[in-house]
Amino acid sequence: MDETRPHLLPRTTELLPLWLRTLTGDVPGPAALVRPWLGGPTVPLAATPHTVAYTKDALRLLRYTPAVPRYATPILFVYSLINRYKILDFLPGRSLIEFLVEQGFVVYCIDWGTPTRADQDLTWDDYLHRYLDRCVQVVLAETGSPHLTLYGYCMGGTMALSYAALHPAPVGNFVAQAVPVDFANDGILTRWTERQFFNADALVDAEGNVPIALMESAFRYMDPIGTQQKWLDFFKKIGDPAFVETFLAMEEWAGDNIPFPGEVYRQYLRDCYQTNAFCRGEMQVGGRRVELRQITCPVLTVIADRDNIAPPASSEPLPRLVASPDTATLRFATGHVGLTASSRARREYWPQIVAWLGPRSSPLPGATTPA
Amino acid sequence: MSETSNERETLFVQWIKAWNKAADGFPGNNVVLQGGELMKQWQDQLRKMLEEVVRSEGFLASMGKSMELGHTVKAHVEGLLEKQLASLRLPSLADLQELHGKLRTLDDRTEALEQQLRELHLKLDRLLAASTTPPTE
Repeated sequence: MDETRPHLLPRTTELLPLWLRTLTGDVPGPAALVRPWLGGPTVPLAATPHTVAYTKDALRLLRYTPAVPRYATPILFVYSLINRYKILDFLPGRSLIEFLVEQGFVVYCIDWGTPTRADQDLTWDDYLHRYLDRCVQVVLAETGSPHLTLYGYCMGGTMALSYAALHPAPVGNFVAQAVPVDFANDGILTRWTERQFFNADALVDAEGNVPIALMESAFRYMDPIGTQQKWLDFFKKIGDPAFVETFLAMEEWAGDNIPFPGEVYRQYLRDCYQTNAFCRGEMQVGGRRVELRQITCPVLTVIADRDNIAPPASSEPLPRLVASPDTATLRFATGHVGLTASSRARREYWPQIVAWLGPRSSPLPGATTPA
Repeated sequence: MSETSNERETLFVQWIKAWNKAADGFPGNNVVLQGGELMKQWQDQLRKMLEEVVRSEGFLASMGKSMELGHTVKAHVEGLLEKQLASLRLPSLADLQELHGKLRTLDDRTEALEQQLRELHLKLDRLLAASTTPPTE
């Protein structure tokens, strides 16, 4: 290689390990293969400064402290078990967590970590009571606030709703962003997981945890043309550095998935997708019924019109299922991930969420809240 | 990437850009090539067809059956492996998982004890502070 032009071709040392991984079947996402050919620096995901407030097993509770705190009520993000929390703190200037911290909220986010075969027997009850409940207690103890805002995203929202239904006392507000609730109306995923076609027990009994490859192929099947077309679009716009960076960051996040803990998956499939027991208030966790009408705090439902993972029809019933007198719904013309990572999100979507959340969060004494 | 300039651009990027430029100059580009109306129509049709296929009863039934069969075979093989390891008196995955479960329980108990100790410390601190505070008139 011409040493005077080091960026012209990717170094063999960068490509060789990737090719070796393809030979062993451990295929990295296309973004990892393309990145070395493009040169230039990489913008890291999840770059908002944070500290670790608590750890347990693979879980980390991340703490984001604002430079100018305005609210005493902290926010706790509960993310899905399907992929990583990093989409909530996507890129600088496109990060929901960064935005909320700038508004003066103390933000906590659960990073569930990567489950191993040793974690396959962890249940929904374990995730609520060994992990989520401990995180809630840590957040309340650290901030001294009697309440917090639970901010659930996707499947993490379903878990957070079941926690709030079982433990309504510490939950001051609930934000349900792209959260499937009525699983009878969850689109293609409801169809695929019908009991006559899909045997979740056989899968979990054989695999322990649900393999990453299976989850990823399911997502690819949801839009097989789009999966290919986006790469054609990428090469058309390769001269636009901002587009290239965002695209590759999104691909890196989308390709960085984790196995789904087996026993949680078994119950999730059975009680949510296959029988809709969650929506009907018949799901049992730790011997107790999860009844959404036990939730009486203010609830905000955030819906993406073009969401194919949590379609509007599956999220819309939430305000009717909870007993809260203070509910609101925000709908945006975007897709599932667009709520958290699109360029419009920071300009249009998040300010509306903060406009709802701000007045329902206790202000810090002497703090000035944004108009 | 924001630092990318012409001199830092890789050959790969330059090549793709040149290709795009050549394609833009191709007379039939707006009709045939990607982004063109013909291509769009073809993609829409293919998308509709695939959506129908992946929702169809036949596809889901055969996919479900083959997956279930694969999982059953795998579970059976793993079961046999467990038995073999047990007969050789070697620890199996199930043994390790059981051990892990016990460690997890121990970890929970230790954490609960730590929490109780912390609370006790706080109470003692408060009591100590109250006993050393001079009485006010």
